[in-house]
Amino acid sequence: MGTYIVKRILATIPVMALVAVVVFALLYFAPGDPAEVIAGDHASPETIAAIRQSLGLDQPLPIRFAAWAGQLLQGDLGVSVFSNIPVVTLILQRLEPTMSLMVLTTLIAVVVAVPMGVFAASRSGTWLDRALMGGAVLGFSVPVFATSYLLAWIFSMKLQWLPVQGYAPLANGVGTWFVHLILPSLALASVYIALIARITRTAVLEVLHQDYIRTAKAKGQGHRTILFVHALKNAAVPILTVIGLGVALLIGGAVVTESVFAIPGIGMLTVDAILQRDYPVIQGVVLFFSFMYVLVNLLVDIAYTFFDPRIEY
Amino acid sequence: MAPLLSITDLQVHFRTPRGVSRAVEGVSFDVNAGETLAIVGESGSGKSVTSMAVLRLLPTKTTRVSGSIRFEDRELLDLSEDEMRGIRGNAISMIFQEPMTALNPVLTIGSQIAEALMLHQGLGKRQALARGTEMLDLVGIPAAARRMSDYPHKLSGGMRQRVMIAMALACEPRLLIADEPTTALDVSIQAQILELMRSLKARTGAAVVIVTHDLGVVAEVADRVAVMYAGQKIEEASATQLFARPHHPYTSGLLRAMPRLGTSLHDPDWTLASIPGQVPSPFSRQEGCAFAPRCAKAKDVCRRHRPALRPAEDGHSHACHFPDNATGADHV
Repeated sequence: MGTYIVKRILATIPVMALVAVVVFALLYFAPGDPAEVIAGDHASPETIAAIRQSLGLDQPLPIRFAAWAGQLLQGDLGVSVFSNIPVVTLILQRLEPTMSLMVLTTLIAVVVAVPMGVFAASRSGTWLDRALMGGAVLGFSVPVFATSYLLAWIFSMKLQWLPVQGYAPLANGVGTWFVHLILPSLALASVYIALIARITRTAVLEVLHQDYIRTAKAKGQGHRTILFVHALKNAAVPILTVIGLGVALLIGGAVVTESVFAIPGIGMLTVDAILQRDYPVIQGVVLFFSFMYVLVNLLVDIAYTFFDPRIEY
Repeated sequence: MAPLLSITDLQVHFRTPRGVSRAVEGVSFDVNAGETLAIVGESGSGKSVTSMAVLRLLPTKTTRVSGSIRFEDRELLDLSEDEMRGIRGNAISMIFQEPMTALNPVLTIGSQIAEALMLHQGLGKRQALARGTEMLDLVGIPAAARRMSDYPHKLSGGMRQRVMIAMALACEPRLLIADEPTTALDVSIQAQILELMRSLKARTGAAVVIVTHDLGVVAEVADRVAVMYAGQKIEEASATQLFARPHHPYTSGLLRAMPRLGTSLHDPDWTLASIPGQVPSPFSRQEGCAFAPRCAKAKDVCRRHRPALRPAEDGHSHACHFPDNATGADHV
C-alpha cells in the first residue's frame, strides 16, 4: 500500500514537468509582446527594449526556460507585471474563495448525484429513470453562466432569500459564508451532478447483473443494502474516476461562476490576468490549476484501493 | 407428514424480445424433510429456473410464475417481498454454480458470512463474525479466523465454494438448494465438495435439492431423482430405481451417455452413446411428447398426444407412451 502511494506520487512528477513546459511554451507562442503591453501605447522603442531586457525577454529561449524553471522549483512563480506583487502571494490571497467554491460544489455534486444514479439504475427503464437521466442531460447541456443567472434571478432577485453576489470569508462565520456560496456552488454543481449521475447509473446497472448481487438477494438482504453496499462499492472505481476527471470542469466552471457572482477567487484573478496580458500571473494560475488537477487525481488513485481490494499495490 | 416443499404445476414464462420463453411448463414435485432430491436435465430443461423460482430470485419484471410452491405450509408465491426476505438465506438457502463470481469481490469473506446471521438471527457484528469463523472452520477452511478478513480473490474456486456453503448453512436452513454446485470445479475438488455437503447434511438434517446435469453427482448424493426435459418433469424415481430401471427413453439415453469406469477407450466395440438432436426451443413448444423428435421409439401417438405423468411401481413415475423396463400393465 505504501509503495503504491509512493509510486503514484513519483508518477506525477513527469506530468507536472510536462505541464510546466507546455505552460511556458504556450505563452512564448502567444501573440503580443508583454514588454509592449507594460510600456503602454506611446512608449519609445528604447523603453520597450529596456523593459524586455529587465524581464529577460531578450535572452535565448532555453536560458529563459531554465531561469523560469529554476525559480519555479523554489516556489517562485514570478512577480505580477502590473501590481508588482509576487504571483504566489496573489494566488494565496485568492485561494480561500476558490477552494470553498470547489469543495462545496464537489460535496453537493457527490451527495446528490450518487444516490440519483443508484436510484436510476435500480429503476432502469421506468419513468423515474428517464426523468432523472433527462434532468441530467439538461443539467449537462445548460451552460454554467446560464444556470448561474437563472438561480440568482430566482433566489436572490425574486425570492430575495440569498445575496446576489459577493463572498464572505469563512472567518466571518460559517453561516454568511454558506449563504454567499450556496448559489454559485449549485450552479457549478449542475454540470458535475449530471456527469457523475450518469456514470453512477451505468456502473451500478452493470454491477446489478452480476452473480454476487443474486447471492446477496438469496441471503435475504434488503434492496437498499444491496444497492448501496453490494453494488455501489463495486461501482466505485468508475465513479471516483469521473469525480477526479470532473475537476477539470470545475476549474473551467469556477472561472465563469466567480465572474458571475463576483467572487474574488483565482478564477477572477485568471480573467483579469488574461485581459491585462499579465504573463507571470497567467503562468502561475495555469500551473496552480494543473497542480490541483493532478493532486485530485492522485487522491482518486489512492482512494481506489479503499474501495477495491483487487487493485495491486 | 406433509412434505417440506411441495411444488405443484409450476409454470415459468419469460417475456423476451424474441417472444415468450416457456422455461418451465407444469412441473410438480415434493421434497421431504431431510431428503436429497436431484433435479437432472440438459441445459435448457428448466431445472435451474425451477430452483430459482422457489426463492423467487427470477427478475420480476419479465417473468411470470404460476402454480404453487408451498414450503412448510406457506404459499411462497403469495408472500410479500419482505416475508420472502425473511425466508431467503434463513429457512431456505441457495448455493450457486459459479463460485468465482458468486461472492462479492469488494467485501471481506467475513462480512459476507456475517450478513445473513445479522439479518436473520439478530446477532451483533462481533457475534456474527465469531459464528462465521466457526462456519468456515466447519466447511474445512484452514486458518478460518484469518480468512475472515480476506477478500474472495485470494481463494481458489474450491475454497470459494466452501465459503458459499458456509454462508448458505450459517442460519441452519431446513432446505438447501444447490444449483450445479460442483460444475465449475476440478474433478478432485468436486468430490470434496460433495463429501462436505453430505456430511453437513447429516449434521444439520437439512433437505437438499441439487440441480445438476451430472449423473455421477446424482449417484453420489441423491435419494430421489426428478428428470426434466424441455420444461417438464418426465420421470421421477428413487436414485437406485432410476439407475437400475429407467422408464423414460430420455433417461435411458442419459444413462447410456454416461462414461463408466472399466471401459477402455481403445476397445473398438465401445462407443459413448449420445442422444441425437437437441432440446426443443422454449419459444415454440410443439404438440405431443417434447422428446419425440429425438426418440428412437417414437410413434405417431407420441407426436400427437403429450403423455401424462403416470405412477408406476414404488413411487416411480414417468411420462411416456412406451416406457422402457416397465412391468405389468401395457401402455396405450
